[in-house]
Amino acid sequence: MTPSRRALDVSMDVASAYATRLLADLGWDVVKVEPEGGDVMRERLSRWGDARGAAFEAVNTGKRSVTLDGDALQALVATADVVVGDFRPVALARMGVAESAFTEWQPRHAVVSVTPFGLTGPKHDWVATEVTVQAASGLMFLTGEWDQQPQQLAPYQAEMTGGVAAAAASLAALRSATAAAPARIDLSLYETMVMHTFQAIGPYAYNGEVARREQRVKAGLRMVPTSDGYVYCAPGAVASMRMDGIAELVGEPRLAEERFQTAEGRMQHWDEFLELFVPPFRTRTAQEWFEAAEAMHMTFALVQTLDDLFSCPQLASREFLHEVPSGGGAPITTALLPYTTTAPSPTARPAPASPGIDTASVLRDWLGR
Amino acid sequence: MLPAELTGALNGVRVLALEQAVALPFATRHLADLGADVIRVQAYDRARAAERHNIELTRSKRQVGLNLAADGGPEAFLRLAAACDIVAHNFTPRVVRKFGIDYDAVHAVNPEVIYVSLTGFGTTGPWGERPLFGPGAEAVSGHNLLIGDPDAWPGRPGTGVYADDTCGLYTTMAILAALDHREQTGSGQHIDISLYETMVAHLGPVLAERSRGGQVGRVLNADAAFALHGVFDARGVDRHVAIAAHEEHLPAIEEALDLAAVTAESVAAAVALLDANEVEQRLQAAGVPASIVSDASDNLTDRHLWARQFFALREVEDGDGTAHYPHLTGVWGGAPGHLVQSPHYVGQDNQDVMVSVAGLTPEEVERLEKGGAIGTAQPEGSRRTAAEPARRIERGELSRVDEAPPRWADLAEVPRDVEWRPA
Repeated sequence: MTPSRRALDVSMDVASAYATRLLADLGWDVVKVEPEGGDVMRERLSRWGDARGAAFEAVNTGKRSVTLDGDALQALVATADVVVGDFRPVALARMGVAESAFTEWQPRHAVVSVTPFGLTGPKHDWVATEVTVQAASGLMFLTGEWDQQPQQLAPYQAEMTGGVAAAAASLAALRSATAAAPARIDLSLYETMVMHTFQAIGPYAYNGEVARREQRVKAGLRMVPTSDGYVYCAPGAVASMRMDGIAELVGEPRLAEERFQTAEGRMQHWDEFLELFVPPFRTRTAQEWFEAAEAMHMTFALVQTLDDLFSCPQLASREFLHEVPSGGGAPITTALLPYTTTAPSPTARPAPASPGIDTASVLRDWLGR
Repeated sequence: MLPAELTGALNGVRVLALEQAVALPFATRHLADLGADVIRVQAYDRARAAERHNIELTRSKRQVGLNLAADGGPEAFLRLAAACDIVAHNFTPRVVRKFGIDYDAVHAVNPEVIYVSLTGFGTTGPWGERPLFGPGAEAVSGHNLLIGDPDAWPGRPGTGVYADDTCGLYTTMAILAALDHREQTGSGQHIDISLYETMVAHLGPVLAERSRGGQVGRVLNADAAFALHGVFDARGVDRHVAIAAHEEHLPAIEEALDLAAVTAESVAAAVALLDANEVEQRLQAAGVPASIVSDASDNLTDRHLWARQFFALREVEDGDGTAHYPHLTGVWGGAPGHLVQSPHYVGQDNQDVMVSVAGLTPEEVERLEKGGAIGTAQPEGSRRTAAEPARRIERGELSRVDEAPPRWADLAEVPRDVEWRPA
């Protein structure tokens, strides 16, 4: 815990809010600036059209909320180490902040902007959502079955990745930037997601090869249905994987035949392969297969639901997930730090129950007013 | 681009990384981008493929080839560890215990060390000794049951390294946080970070939604919070556009696509007749969130990314001479290309590092080499043993092969647009 650091969150999105939430978990004093009507995230629905506002709480635990006028905001900026937010003119207008904020604000170390396409370049004013950023980045093109449409990832993945990158940039700026010349960091969600596709970028740059989604689907095995769910089945690297061990594991000696021993061979005899390979897995539970594979030194993995995570013995043993109370509704379940450490750890604190609820205490603590 | 204020943020910070695969190399690459002296330690006992595609994981690092099973191997590692600010590995807890280089051993020779164990499940708990790879982490952390068609087998993130990258980025953040903590308190720490837990944390808002009764599950490309949300097939082979619109956008879509009424079906029918880029342009001009589903060629030829210096060119030996090829510059946008050092081979820096960092004499280094504790692995030639492109297209590995890829030098001339424009 590093109690003397201060961050200001001037966002109404997931990415910036997650960045400053990570800093709060590290022990920073984080203040969220909200417009009078409150952060629009407080009303946001899930991908499934329910759980209103739960995502807001997840990325704002451990912060205090203020609503205030321009002068007080300027004073808070000057005493913050880092300010994080969406610095596009359209977003600043919604916050009631001047358009020049990105270049003129003078916090002690950094102004970090997190936007879909960045503040410069021909697409700086393009409109975007989570799914359109995933699409633009190239990650979506690679996700899904090779002969079907590309698929979106789990919710909020571009925003969450941008949040981690913004937190890292904030921490880096502490070491090299000063109040006289704070770092101005212009992060783009598009770019942080293109980063994930580096293994597709190289082959195109050098060989003109456009990788297609799930190129390994027919050579590898992936997730197989069992009597009660799926098990991830990966006894080795796909290209060199042999079937001897699997044949023994599932009790189907024909899988050890030579024609199934290479990726090429399996693809050639794919339907026959599946007929031998899939049915045996229906006879036992995922957990049983996982344990049987482990006894034979094969690296399988359970394919877990979120409810499985809530009762996972590993996460429980490491006290990784916590129930955090909320101002009004039911508690939410969340991780505190995304790792464990011998340094002091944070405690669970709720997200601010309403906009501006902490204005007086923040003005007192930060400005002595 | 990498802001000037971050260039050299980690100058003077030395990192010893016993690293393999993707997650930790990805993390330490970011530290190298920020100016850290990263020493990448690997086994040298088998020859490696040339690492030109691996530049994103290996560039700007010094390389040591070490055999921890040989006499003097662990001692050499500890000599280096004593002289580094950060010591990191991504092996199972059993491996580092066996060679006597776990946190306790390193802490004994370097009391202020920031020690990173990057493992599958964390170093403690009932699953603490289990191995896990990135794709398995995506399955066990809940991601795969949130991707794809509910009536098919589960989906997964398509790159094969999504969990590795994600955990790597969290590791970068954790190390930067630990450096600040040490600056303020004088204390190092043991960071116990895992593929599993970082991927669980990366679902934070979804966990909260589920704990509030959200009906989470697989819904392909739907999103009930929007009036129109999905991926639509455009004209041509494997071309698509993602569109996400609220009620307020629907009149603009009607006009842009010349529709009587917006329904998923009418939009699909209209998009099918158009080029993906045309749809993207029309909808963006109308203020509707839409993007093509980019493939690698779309990203590498995107003038927006070149204008922001997200790519840079690097000189590469290429058969009959040198050529220039692009690489990604960094997670914080573009870093000037000249800061990127091409990958070294395994053990290329043995002499230099063992003398200047570990403080050994040249004679002691020679003894370690003779005893097999340190060595080198020269890269093999270019690894292009894959099947013919036509065959790879047929079996679904590749979408296509462009025989004449773009002229990278021309794209590198795209005018730089690095000035912020507060309108």
